[in-house]
Amino acid sequence: MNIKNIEYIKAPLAKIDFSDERNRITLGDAGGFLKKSIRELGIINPPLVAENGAGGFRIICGFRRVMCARAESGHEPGSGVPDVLITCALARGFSEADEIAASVEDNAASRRLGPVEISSAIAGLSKYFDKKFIIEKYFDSFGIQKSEFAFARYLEIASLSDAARDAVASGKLPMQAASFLVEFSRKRQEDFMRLASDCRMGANLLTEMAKNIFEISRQRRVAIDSIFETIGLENVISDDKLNSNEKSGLLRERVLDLKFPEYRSRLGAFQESVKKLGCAGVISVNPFPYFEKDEINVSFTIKNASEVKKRIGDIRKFENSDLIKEFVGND
Amino acid sequence: MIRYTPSEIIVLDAGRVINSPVTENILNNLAGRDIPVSRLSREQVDARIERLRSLDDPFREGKKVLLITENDGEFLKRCPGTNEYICCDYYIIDFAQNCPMDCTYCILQAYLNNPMMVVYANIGDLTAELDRRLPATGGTMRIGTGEFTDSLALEHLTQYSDLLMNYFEKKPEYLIEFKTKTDNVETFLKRKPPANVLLSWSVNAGNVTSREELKSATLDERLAAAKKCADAGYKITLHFDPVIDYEDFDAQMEKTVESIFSHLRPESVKYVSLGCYRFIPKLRDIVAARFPNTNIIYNEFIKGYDGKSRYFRKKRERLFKKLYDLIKKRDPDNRIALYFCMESPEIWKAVAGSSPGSDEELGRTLYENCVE
Repeated sequence: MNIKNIEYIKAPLAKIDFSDERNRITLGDAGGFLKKSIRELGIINPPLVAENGAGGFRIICGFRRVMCARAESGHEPGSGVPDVLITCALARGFSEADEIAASVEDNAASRRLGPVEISSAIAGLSKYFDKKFIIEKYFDSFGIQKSEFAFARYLEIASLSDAARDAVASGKLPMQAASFLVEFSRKRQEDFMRLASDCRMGANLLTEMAKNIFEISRQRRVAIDSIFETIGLENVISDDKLNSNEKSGLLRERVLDLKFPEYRSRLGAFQESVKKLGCAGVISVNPFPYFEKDEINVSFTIKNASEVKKRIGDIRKFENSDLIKEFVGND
Repeated sequence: MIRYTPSEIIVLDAGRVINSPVTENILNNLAGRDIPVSRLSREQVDARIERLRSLDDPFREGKKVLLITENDGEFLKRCPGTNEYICCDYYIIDFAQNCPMDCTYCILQAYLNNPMMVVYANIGDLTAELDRRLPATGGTMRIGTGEFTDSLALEHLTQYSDLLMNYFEKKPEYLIEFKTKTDNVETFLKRKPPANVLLSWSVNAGNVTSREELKSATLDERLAAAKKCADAGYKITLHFDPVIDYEDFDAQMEKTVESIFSHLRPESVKYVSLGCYRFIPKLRDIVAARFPNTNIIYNEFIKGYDGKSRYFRKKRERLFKKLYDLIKKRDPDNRIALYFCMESPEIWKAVAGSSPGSDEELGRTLYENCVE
């Protein structure tokens, strides 16, 4: 980057084109601390701008500072509030590669970037620089592992739908869930994000659902779309009789049925056999984990002497029951 | 199949390595191939390993480098097996590590810290250790070399199996098994078959072999090699491991079993093991990253009581039953001992009707079937 050709100027806010976001990697508005600082001290670190060829300027880095200054000035086109001048560093002769590099370096030097910002930075840099160069030069400052795997994973985030990217940026959707979501079509990404909002699924459950839906598609060699149809996402979400917890639980169960069909079917049969014994509430009966052994675990509590007889009676019901025949060894 | 040739050879700068017949064999066999050879200290080797480990796919790059080094630890180990499932009471000789083939499911990807191809050249220490430790084991052991590597993948370079056979020829009570997915059997065909040598092939459904066992010999190549060895008088063993729930499983396995018995007579085959695909959790992410097109890690896996991911029990029973019946049908006189690798008594009973009482009992059965 050629940093010799930088000139400090006073630029009217009205001449700055906020709509040109080609170099923007930050998300959202300025935080409270920055707003307070600008209100009290003005812009200490001037934004870097370039001439836009139409008599105005576009921002290379410092979007949030400039937006904050505009908000503080109260100036909007046609508002009647007088325009203000802000000090800017005007870049002359910067190539497009210089501009994105300056934007990334300025942002990464001043704070820890979020995953979506890292993704935007990588996507922007990738237009001009080699993958290995980007990993070597920038990943330490991003605070992420220097690997091609991390490169690919963050780059994928750039392809997410707006809703999904916003959710990643706000921390509602973990990176791990997002890494599965990139395999979904845009429409299904939007549908999936409705799970987060309409069913109030938390981060862990969203990750589990995204992972399971992706894996079912690989396991059964079917399109992700068909899984959404099989679990009846639309119907469940629009069912007014269900509250958000019930919707979330029902969809999770349906996904688990697809992911673990044989285990879930066996578990269902087991629970049915236990039910037939008629001991519900007083005796707890559980299979060996995943039915790996022909053993069941029976537990109960005795509070007084008379309950001993009752429990023995309950246990006698096990003899010759379907539960013993089906789930416990015969020898 | 294409035989392994390294892009680079590193020889540990240690007397036991430099003066080893294994090192001599490797360097002689690659003479004139313009492969760079460097002699490095242990610290320099460690630095190279660290550099390789920092790469995105250390295995891809690491396999190109052949490290001839020494084993400072024990060569003879009990197969780690699994306490909670029935194992076959097997011993292993750790003479080399890593494998030039690239099976998508390979556990070595998660197990090995050093991504290079490694050969332990201090064979003098190996035989001295065997002299010292074997008498204490009471004999009747089955010992294999194919746990941390393919037994024969480097045989054309090292002739390690030849050196081991020279040793075990004088100890006929111990069975030595060479397990492979190659057709690299020239070593064996050049000599009179020792009665205590078992030549073993890993076999699978044809579509698994072609899509998941990359750079290995085809099933036909393996079986043709097995036939040559059987015809020469060697005892053969086979391992269906991993049995994978794969497309067209029944028909593919029928073809494989048919092909096996069109090459081999049941009396040549001393035992066959069946082991369903299982893996430690760490392997899953490695496979997903290295082989994004494989689907084998996406299935109805449960966590077994050894902590490994396994197919749900009913699925294992179904896959095993199919194979078990296919093999039994081709072996009406029950000459082949069939066993399950690391399986529960419940699976044994469901598929075979009964279960061995202990690891030792199973080991003894297999041993006896080989020495009859």
